[in-house]
Amino acid sequence: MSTPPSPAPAPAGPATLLSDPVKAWRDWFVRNEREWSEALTRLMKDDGVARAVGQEINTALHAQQMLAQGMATPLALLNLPTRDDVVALGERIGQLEDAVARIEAALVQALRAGAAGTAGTAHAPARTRQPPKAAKASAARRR
Amino acid sequence: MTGDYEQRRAALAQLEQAMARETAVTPKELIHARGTLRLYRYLPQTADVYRVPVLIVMSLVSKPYIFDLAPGQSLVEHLVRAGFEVYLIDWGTPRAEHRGLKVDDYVAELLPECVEQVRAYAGADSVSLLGYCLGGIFTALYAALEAPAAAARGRLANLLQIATPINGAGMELQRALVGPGALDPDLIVDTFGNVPASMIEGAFQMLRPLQKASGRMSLLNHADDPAFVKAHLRIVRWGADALPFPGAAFRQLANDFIRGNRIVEGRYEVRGRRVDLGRIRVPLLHVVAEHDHVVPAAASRDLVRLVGSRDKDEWVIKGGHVSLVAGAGAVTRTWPRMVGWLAARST
Repeated sequence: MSTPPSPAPAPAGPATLLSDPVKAWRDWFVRNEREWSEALTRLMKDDGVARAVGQEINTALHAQQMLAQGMATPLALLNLPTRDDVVALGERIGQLEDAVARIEAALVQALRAGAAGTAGTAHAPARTRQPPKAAKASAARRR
Repeated sequence: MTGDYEQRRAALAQLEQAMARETAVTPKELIHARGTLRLYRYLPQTADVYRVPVLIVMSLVSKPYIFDLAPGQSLVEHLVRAGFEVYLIDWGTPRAEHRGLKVDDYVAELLPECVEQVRAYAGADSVSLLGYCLGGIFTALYAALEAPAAAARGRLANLLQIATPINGAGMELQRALVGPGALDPDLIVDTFGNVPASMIEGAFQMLRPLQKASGRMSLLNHADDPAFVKAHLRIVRWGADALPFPGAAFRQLANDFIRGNRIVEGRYEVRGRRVDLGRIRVPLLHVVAEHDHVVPAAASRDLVRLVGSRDKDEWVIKGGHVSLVAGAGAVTRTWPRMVGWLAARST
């Protein structure tokens, strides 16, 4: 549920309409983008606009369903895999990856148990770390 | 002219390879796997660690490497170096067979299972949960359901919520898009099973339509600054790396959270149990961004008001949705404050 932010821009050389008009235009766009985007999203929040956009997507989804159904037979006649066939292949590869991950996790757990058996908590640092006193006091006051 | 173009292409390819090499490199081990879920433990880098481990819970639709973007720009690395034992849940990429996974499965089964794994592996009574965005909804729902009876010690020590939407009415654009007579969430799920990643990415772009264009212009303006280009492309690459949304979970959130606004109204149910955020009593910190266009303040601000914790706080940080977990401001300002808050409550 995330979208990339623009990283904090490093100071760029000043551009003016005379020295570099294209760069100056880009600077102007970047400076104003947030406001323009907000204006556009305000427009899309309007019930009528949102309904129109939603119905447009609904229509595309219905078309997608019909296309998928309509393509199945021709692809089978041409002896070509359908989307479902490719998805099924992907599923099997994914299941193999999952199985390998389960084995890896089991090995890590077994090694950990073995190390603990022979050398106590071999890889575990002591759980005794303390925060700075001021931070601890401040937290205690809030509780 | 062509030579210059080829040179630039080669330089960009090199840069992308370098970025890939630097991403998610904090040393870790896989301690649990179930389906596409992976539970990682980051190897401690200090002589001693805080008593309470931290479990990071990511959103379903974004890859968790945003928490470990690159050395020096990694929340995970920051926490590990500050003396925390850090675990992370990667929900993985759902396949067609996972179309039936509901929010209930994540909150009442997969997340509790990971908490138990962490407690057992770390040998700790309780854990701190750090939930980001949709992951924050999961941690909040879990915390409310898992809250022990008064005076009893629970499995949860602290809740650190980052940009967590809790009030569906505050998600104005999403609410308008799935409103009466508009986009039909059931039709998406019936068509695709899981909501495709391309639709997720498109939905994020609708929330700030010109940001991508602005980013490209910004990139051109700083093309001679390799550090800027790299930092920019890292985030862009992550943003374009969205994951499909498991169909049933999407349907449930669209209907019960966005349309029905049941969490804030105390009518949300997980496997037949009503969720009351007021039952959350553990220390809670909600970190939100001032200019968050994905989770606006109207969607997130009610969390602190609704929980029953005495020790609770909300920090509003300058910046946007992702700048809480990545970027220069996070490294120098937000994370040190978060570490301070967590450390004081992790002994």
